[in-house]
Parts: sequence; C-alpha cells; structure tokens
Amino acid sequence: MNAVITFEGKDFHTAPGETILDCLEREGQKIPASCRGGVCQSCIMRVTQGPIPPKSQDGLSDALKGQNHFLSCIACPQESLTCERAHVVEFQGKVSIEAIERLSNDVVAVRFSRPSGFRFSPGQFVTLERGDKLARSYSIASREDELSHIDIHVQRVPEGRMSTWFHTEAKPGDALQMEGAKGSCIHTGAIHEHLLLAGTGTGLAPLYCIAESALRRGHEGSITLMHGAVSQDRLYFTDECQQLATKYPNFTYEQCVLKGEPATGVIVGNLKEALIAKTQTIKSPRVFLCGDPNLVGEIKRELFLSGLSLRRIHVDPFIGTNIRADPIEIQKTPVAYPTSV
Amino acid sequence: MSSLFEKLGGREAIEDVVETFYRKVLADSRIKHFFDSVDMDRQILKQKSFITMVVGGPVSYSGKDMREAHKHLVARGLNDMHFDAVVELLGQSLNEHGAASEDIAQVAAIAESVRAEVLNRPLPGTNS
Repeated sequence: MNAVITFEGKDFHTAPGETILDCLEREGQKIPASCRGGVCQSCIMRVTQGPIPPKSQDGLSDALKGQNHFLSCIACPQESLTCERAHVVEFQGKVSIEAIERLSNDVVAVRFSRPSGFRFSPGQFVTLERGDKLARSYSIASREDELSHIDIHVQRVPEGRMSTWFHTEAKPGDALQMEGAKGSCIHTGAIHEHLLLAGTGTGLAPLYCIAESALRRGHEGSITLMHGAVSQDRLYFTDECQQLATKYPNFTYEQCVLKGEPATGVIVGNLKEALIAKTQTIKSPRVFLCGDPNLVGEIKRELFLSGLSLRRIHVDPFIGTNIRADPIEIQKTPVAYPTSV
Repeated sequence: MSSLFEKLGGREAIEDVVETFYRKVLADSRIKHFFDSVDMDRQILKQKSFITMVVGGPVSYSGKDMREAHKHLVARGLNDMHFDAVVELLGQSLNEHGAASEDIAQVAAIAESVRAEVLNRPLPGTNS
C-alpha cells in the first residue's frame, strides 16, 4: 500500500520511493523548489496530520521542526499524511480588546480575549489588522498556558499610526483581525543549556516570555536577560523581571543603559558590547535577540564571526515600526502589509 | 567510491564547513560585499547548496540555474578574481575540516566546471 498525500483537499497517491514534491508535481501542483536535495529549503511544507516522513527534517532549525515543517524534495512518506504549504498560518480570526494598561511613558500592554484553538510558542508574534486594513505585527507578551487572554506590548512610535491608535484611541471591545502565530525565535533546546537573551524596547516581551516559560518548565542552565535602553527611566517591566530573578536562582536580569550610574544589575554601556563580553564568559550559549533590527543584525553577525554557530543564534528583528517578517513569509507570500507608518 | 560529501560526514558535517566558509567570506575584503546580505540565514542556505553540490552531495543545479542565480552579481562586477577567491576560501575551509588535498582538488575541478555559467559567459566551445 503506497502512502496517500492529502494536500489542499485532494488525495495524491505516491509511487514507491517517490518524494512528496515529485508526486505533487507529477499531478500538476506547483510547489516552489530549487536544489531538490534537501538543502535550499525552497520546497518547505508542513505536516498537519500524520507522521512526518523519515529524514525529511534534516537541516531544519529546531523551531521549524517543532512546527512540523519538512522538506518535500527529500520526503518519501511511508504512511499517509496531510500537508500544506509552509506559509499557511494556523489561525485567522477576530479578537477583541479586553483591557489596555500603561506600563511606562511609551509602552502600553493590550490584552485580548484568546480564541480557543489559538496556539503559540513563547517568542512568537501575531499580525493584527484594524478594520481599515492597517496591519502590524506584535510579539505575544503573555504565557502560552494562559488560556483566557493574550497580551502584547505596544511602544508608541512617533508618527506610528497603529501604535498611536493603541495609545490614544483604542478601547475595550474594539475588534481586530488576528493572524498567527508566526516566527521562529523560540526555544526548543535542552534544559541544561545556558541562554542569553538581549533586546531593546518591546523586544523585551518575547524575551521575557521565552525565559519565563523555560524557567517554569524546569530549565536547569543559566538564563540571562539583558534589556538595553538609553537610560533607566526608558526601561519597563522591571518589577516583573526582578520578581523572576527572585523566584529562580538560575535567572539573572541585567539592565544595560547608555547613560547612568553602574550598580548591581545595571551595566552602563552599549548593549552589543555588554552582550558580546557576556557571551565570552559562557561555554556554548544559545542566544536570543529581539528588537531594533540594526542592533539585532550587528550582534548576530559579530557573534557568528566570533565563532558561535548560527544554529545557536535566534533573532526577531522588529523591522520598520512593528512590522516583522519571517524568513518563510518573505520567500513565499506577497507583501500583504502596509509598510508606511 | 564514496563522495567527499560522505567522507566529510554528510549533511550535518557540511553545516560546519559552510559556517567556516561563510566566516572566511565575510572577513575577506575581495568578496565580502557580494555576501554581506542582511539575511544571514538565507545567505548560508545558498552557500550550503553550493558546497553540497561541489562536494558531490545530493543537490542538482543545472548550468542555467547557476547562470540565473548569479546574473545580478555579474551586473555588480563579479569576475574571475572573485571566483578564484571563493574557490580558495572553500579549499581552506575543507582543509580545516579534514578533507584530503586530492579531494580538495576534485572540489576545485567541480567548481571550475561551472565558472562560465556563474560569470555569465558563453560556454567554452560554443559560438553563441
């Protein structure tokens, strides 16, 4: 009995030894593909039901593996399965605002009702679209096991239409269209690893979630969270971070400010240099970087050139105002979001 | 006879070779500007495809693919000097990961076989 592939509502019968890519193409389906040897990842797809074909996840990041992605050009299924194109998002639907709480001068937390069936991993983000089609992406700032609501942190961006709206006009009961969860800046490594998380602005939200979730689930290695800003009064969520440090001895919270007085837990200097110095004191760390895209890119590059494998560097650059792009999204989907602020 | 791809240890070992190679490329003033893209992960996948091919691994690119993929770089001045630099850094990277010199020579020969396509020149022996 050969495996049957269910794709976009139709059944396709594989021949013995045939790959899913070859089978779908034989039947006239158009799947992007290039190297056909399991390397370039152009033909990436996702299993929604059934077993993942053996060896078809070779070379994929842990994040993509965890989301059941596989490479169709090296996937020879032994059992029947259902799969979809990789860019299909898991959830699309309306959410409404439950509450808006001010966290600092320029950051508010917005709480939404969490739709049943919506799942995410700490570190992922969602795209929110207003009635007039204005859309922005925001990292989820609440726990994955909190089923009643999801929170996001919104930093007010000068001239930013969506962030200004959240800060000045939005109110409980307002509904938005939500799409997600997206993004591969998530932690799937082993519990004894040493994690270093660094970011600026609301890059803190995904980093805090990754750290909190790992600690809650019994992480044994050290976790250091570094939040950078111009000065201490520009940092936010500091009580929550300090509480986490009190609760878990293997967690350290460090503020990194350009201007101010050095103190316990406060580094005065540039986040990039502070993080790179920290990296050198830790044996094979796993690093997470979120926030300002230039800073994220620079730190990533420098860490890589200093010898850290790209497989141990996870990033979520907040491109534009709060528009984020996932590598798969860039590759596979036309630009769907307005780029002006 | 096993390919260098197998001798090096297959897909996983290739990832380490690719990272070594990419570090060298980004530090090399002759060619780094062609590789210094914002998206390092995309960039490394391209290099992984290339290296998997030249060490005899299971990827297949046609000459036409190579030509199309590099056209925009030729327009930015990609020439023989850059091609030679890539082959040189690749040889160093393979050497650091334990490849024998005859295997590295074999890799250089495979790379050489796509030079005309990469640089978007007519193939040797054709009149077009």
